[in-house]
Amino acid sequence: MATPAPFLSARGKLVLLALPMLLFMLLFFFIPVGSLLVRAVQDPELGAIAPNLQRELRAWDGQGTPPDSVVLALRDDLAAAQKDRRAAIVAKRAAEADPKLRPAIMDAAKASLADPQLSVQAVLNLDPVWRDAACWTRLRDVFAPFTDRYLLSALDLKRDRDTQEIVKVAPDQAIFLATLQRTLGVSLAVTLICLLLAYPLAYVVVRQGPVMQALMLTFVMLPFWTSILVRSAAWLVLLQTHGVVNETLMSLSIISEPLKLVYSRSGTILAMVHIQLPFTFLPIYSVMKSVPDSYVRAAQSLGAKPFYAFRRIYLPQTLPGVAAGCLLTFILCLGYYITPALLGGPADQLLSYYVAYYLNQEVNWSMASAVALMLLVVTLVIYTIYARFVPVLRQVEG
Amino acid sequence: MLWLLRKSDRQVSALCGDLSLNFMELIQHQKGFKVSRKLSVSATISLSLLTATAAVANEITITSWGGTYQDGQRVTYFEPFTAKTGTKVVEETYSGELAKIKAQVDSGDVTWDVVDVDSNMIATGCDEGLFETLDYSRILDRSKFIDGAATDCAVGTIVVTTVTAYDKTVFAEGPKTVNDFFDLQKFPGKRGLWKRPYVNLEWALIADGVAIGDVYKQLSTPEGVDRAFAKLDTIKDQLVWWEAGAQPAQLLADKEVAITSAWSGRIQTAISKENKPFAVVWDAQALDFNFWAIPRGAKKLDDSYAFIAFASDASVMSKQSLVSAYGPTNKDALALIAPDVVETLPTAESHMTNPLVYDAKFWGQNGEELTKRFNNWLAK
Repeated sequence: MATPAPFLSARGKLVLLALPMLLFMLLFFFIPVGSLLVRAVQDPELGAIAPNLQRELRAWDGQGTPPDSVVLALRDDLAAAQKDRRAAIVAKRAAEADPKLRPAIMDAAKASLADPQLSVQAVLNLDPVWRDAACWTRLRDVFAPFTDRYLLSALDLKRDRDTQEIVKVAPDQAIFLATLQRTLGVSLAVTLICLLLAYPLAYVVVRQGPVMQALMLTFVMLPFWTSILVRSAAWLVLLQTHGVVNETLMSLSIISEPLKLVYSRSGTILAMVHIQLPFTFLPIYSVMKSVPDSYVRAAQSLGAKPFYAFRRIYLPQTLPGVAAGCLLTFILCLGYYITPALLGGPADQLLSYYVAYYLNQEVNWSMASAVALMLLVVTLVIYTIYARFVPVLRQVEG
Repeated sequence: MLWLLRKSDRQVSALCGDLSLNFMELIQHQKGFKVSRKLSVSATISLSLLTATAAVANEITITSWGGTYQDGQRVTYFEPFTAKTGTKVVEETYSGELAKIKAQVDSGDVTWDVVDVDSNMIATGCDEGLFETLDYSRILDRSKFIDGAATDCAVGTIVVTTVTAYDKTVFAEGPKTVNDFFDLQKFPGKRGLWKRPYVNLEWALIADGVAIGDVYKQLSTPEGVDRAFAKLDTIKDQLVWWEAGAQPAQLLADKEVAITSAWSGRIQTAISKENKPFAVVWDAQALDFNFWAIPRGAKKLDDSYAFIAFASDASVMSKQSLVSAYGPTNKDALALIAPDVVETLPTAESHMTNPLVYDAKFWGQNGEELTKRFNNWLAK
């Protein structure tokens, strides 16, 4: 008897089951995040504020002095922008290409609003900037539909104002690569310490009876129940110069001078390890739970020494948990903000600080996107390495 | 959903008041956590609508910085305003994220009617069209405000200053000037500073001999910036950096630092409410303001203006100094405050001998570059 053809193939059913989740991700994750990241190469604001100026500037070939239509578009758009108090946005963005443009644009905006019929010559006479062809070319670049300015800036690079070649920014302005390196370093240190702490702990917990296991798990999960801010503040109380730890050590005459435990890299790492430990622990624990003891016993009955049996039989079987726990911890560490700010020293600013800075303080969302993009790319690279790494582990397992 | 609820509150309660209440109870029940202020206010409005069907319930959303500061505003401004006008105040809190205002203005869906903002936000936000241009004829004559408080986009509500402070039990004869802050010989010990360039660079120049009036002119030149950092270098290994406004008082209390920069109100609270033996050095205090501003495109302009006018009234404003030690921006308010309270305020005459007037506009234009350089300097 022929079985009726299934309405959907197995793969089709899977896709259908995952569809709500995929749609949710698309609508509430990929589209918003994507549209924000696009700002790293595109500034939609300028075109919205000065559409005519953008069109005229792009229609002009950028050679020599601009035609009158460009100057008139500048006059009209800036007057309209000034009325809305938005001319300063144009001035600020233009100042990134040439600082002289900022006052020139603000003056032109005010003059155009005061007299909408200003002649071309009158506009050009407002400021020497407007009689300099090079400045117009720079303004044209500011209005380019796509720009690499923010991405270069996130890599501590810029285009030379005259030659347009990519050069390094001044050393006192180069901040992002060093911060990225520091972010990766701190994340790596926290991940390794978490692993060293979580692995033996998970091993012990798995070997307890059900009651003891539940109790120990509760203790591991405790940090999850308090906010990061409160936990960071609690560490401050413990670790400061005249805090609990130092006072105790000094009263026991173990040390004579208080140790510098806080406002330093070590304070940051300590508090981050505390917060991240459950994230490393849980995947390792769940994998260990599924590893049967019989394999190790079999190895030992065949003559393997305990360490050899652990290294060749037990460890490889738990590696997927180790990889998952470490990946989770590492990626979460990359985004830390509050803890390093409160417990870290002056040199412990991590990259996400700058995302917040550009978002809130400078209101330069393009720059915030560029820095966030850098963080995202690093995360994706690490994830790709992990994704390639895991099938290898599976083979070892099989 | 809360947002929808709030938006349609009036219609929903007019049509089926019972239903809307049940609906809210349902949400409260489902969520199972403490009822937020927003919800409870919505609920009371719905209730009041049920009882007085003819009345039109006005409400405005005011956003401030939370904590004890907003607690003080509630007692001083929000509750008396509701009592006087019948307009309910729905409170929100934020931490000065200009991005949250920009997102509302750009999307055209402005839900905050009045926001308490600081001067850095005004310097950036006013120029970028994030706030309504204010019509002072609907508030109070500009001349009634102290210098710098009445700006095009925002009305000063309090004078906040950055000062230096120390523990009197550490120094019998304490520091008197900003120069003393940089003098490690006379006043040994760690120093606390805010982990931002603002005010730190200004003080460094003043301590290096620059006249207070020339500070920003100097800072606009590369040589001036170098000079400020060179001065900071002289105390760099003694510096502890704070991040949150509550930290300086804590740093002093824990003897983590000997002298620290701080926002004056925080130190004053520690002195008067917690009896800490702290003293404030008013020399070169960096004068700054917090403001009321209306995000551009806010819909209840009449109520927003009514609130700002109410909050700018001298007798109303004078009461805030009782709950938090910030100076009033209305010139007439100072006379209404008890003399012993005035002495704790930055605006007291004896403290105003040589203030540094913080220039938010300067920082708006140079902040990015100087912040990068500052953070680079920190990391070295």
